[in-house]
Amino acid sequence: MSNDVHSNGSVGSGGEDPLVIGDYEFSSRLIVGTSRYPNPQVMLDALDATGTELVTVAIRRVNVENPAPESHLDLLRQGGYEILPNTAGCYTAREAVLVAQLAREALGTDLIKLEVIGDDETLMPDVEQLLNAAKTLVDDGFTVLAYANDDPITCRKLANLGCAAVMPLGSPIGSGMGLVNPYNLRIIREEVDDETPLIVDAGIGTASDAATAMELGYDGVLLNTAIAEAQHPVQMARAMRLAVEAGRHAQRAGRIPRRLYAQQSSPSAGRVQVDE
Amino acid sequence: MSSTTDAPIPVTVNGEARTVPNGYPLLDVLRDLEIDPEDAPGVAVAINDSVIRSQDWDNVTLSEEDTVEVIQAQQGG
Repeated sequence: MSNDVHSNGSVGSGGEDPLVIGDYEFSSRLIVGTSRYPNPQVMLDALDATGTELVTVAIRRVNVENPAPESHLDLLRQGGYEILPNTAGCYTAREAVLVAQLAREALGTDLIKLEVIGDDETLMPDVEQLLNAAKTLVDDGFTVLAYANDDPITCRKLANLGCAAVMPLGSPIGSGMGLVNPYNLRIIREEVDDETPLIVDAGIGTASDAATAMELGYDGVLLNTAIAEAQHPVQMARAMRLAVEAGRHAQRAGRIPRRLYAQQSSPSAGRVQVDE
Repeated sequence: MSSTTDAPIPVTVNGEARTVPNGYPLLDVLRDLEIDPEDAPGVAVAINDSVIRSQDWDNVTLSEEDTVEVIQAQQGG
């Protein structure tokens, strides 16, 4: 991540502070999922309100008897969104690699959000399988965005393997618990080389979580449920956009140090004093 | 993936065991799934963990114990 500050301090829009993932460049630092919206129009309106340019889809078997919800891929493409397929639901490196290869064929993209989970209850990554899959996919020419535990060692290994982005979780997928271990997220930011974008993926509950992720020096935020299941998804989508932009500005502006005691804002010289 | 005969063979399609004639065309597998092979954007196929590119679909037939995966994109996070 570059710490260059543009003279006008402009971030988050207009392409002056792009999020670069492999060969891709985005002016928005939000990546947004396409699941769980009340209906397709709300999804489209919410995506528009986030300003995102990169949206996730899942890859599932075609099932005639129990058809999956439509991806509305045509609508997403008409909207100009770059498609980021995921490997959600894969438990092994072998499954994840096959799903990634199928996604590349189906969607004509080398982007892949790599998820290899260990169980259904936590949806936490299986680190051994994740690292194996990441290596295979990077070697196969994929642009890998790897969903990871908030573990500095795993994140560093994923970056060293050549993942285009490393995406530690804030808290379990869909939990809305926010950033439960901001200290680990800070360490990950310090441990992973500046060339690898870091994105908080999963667990975002509300706008302040997204802003905090950006203030911690993260390059972006990936979320879905916090918008899709908000009472007013489009309004929350706008809140997330503003939060990510605000957090990015604040991080680059450089916050003041925390002090235990107060420090007067107004000058002490010349203040009016009345003798007792 | 061999020449067509009438002998039935076991295969697996999207996790379900099926019996089809030996040499059953992949295109028929897709039609069974209500996919029009001529107009299937966002659909991909793998047999035995190898992706079959769409331009090759009409050259492929099934052999005994083949495992076929037919996928499409859906909403996801």
